[in-house]
Amino acid sequence: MSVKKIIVFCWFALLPITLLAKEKSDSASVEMQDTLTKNKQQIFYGFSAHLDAASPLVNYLIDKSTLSFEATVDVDLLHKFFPVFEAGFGYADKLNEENIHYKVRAPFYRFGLNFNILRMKNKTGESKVFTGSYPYIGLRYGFSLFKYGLDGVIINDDYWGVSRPLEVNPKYLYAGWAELVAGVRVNMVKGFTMGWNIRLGLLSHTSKSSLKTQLWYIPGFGKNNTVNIMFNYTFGYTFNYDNKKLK
Amino acid sequence: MWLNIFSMRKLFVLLVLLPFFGACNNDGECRQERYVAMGVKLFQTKFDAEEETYVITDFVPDSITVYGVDNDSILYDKKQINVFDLPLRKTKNESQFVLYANGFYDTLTILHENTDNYLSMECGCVVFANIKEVVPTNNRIDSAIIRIPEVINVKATHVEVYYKAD
Repeated sequence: MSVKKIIVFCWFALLPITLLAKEKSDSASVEMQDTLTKNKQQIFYGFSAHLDAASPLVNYLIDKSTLSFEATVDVDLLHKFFPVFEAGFGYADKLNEENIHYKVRAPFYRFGLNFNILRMKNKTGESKVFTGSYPYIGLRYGFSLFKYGLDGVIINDDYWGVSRPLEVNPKYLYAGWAELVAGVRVNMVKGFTMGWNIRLGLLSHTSKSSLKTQLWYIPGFGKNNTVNIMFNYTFGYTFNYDNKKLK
Repeated sequence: MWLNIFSMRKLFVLLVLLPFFGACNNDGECRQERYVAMGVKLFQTKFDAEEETYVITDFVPDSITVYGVDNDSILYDKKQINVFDLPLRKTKNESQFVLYANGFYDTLTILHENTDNYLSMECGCVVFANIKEVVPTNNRIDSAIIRIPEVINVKATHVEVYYKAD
């Protein structure tokens, strides 16, 4: 089974869980109606902290020589806008068939905004209760400052029948990229939330563009240095005064 | 874009299908041109009796054999060509080639500076050269000039070699 198929299978496996949790949280919405109307003018509704369980697994499945961990914090503004800050650590230690060894380990960061795309008013124009569960789309800017190392590079002169090693000194580099995000956040019970999202990473750039092709792995972005698809499955806690109302 | 709760199913379908469009993964193949060699073109000076002057024309020998000095591997064997590529040494700054054209031997000595360029894990590295000087023997060759000193691909005539008039 290919890696892509395994990942898609995992998504399907996770779907029923998130859908079930969504239905449970909807049942709590009636009890929260009063709270919402009392706080109509409120802007800040709390914040969430989540750990990502997918990126270590996905990175390992795609290539065993890579590893990545990350966590997310977001702020609930008006139940509609969710400024996000993400931080993580990426690692790669790759030896290819030609014995070229690429090594990098560095933290990475992303910031951006999620936008709740759930309709917040019903057909009669009344405000719906925000249950803590919502689908969203978002944007991110990610970046990492890292040092990567290469060794084992050999220059082969086939016609003249000689070869020599090429020294590639470790280099510090800044890499940045943009991400389009789409996902779901679900309030499981009493503020414990989980969710998943997929991301399209693109527009990657580096502080030295001539070195961009040398990068086999960019922490936080992944293997490909042009376009990437990433997946997160997060779980954590949402600190919100409404939590006590949730069942 | 506003969605009600029932539209979430459409979103799920969209999100599940999206990875199938993501065919941009690094497949470990090199798609860059890695062969770098010095392009050579042969010319000959001929006397135009009508104009009573010397003119320069393309020189296509009846048979030309080309190989590197101290190298048993023949690059071009008894060919009828006047444009060819010569692989400069990647580990030294001097490359020598024997040109055996129409029964006459000549040697081209190329002095060059090499620059190593690591491309990627998939492609490895290439060596570019900057030609400093081209020195021919003068058995049948009259002169050689550098047209493009930077050798970064094989799509150019870097050196022109001028043979003497018959």
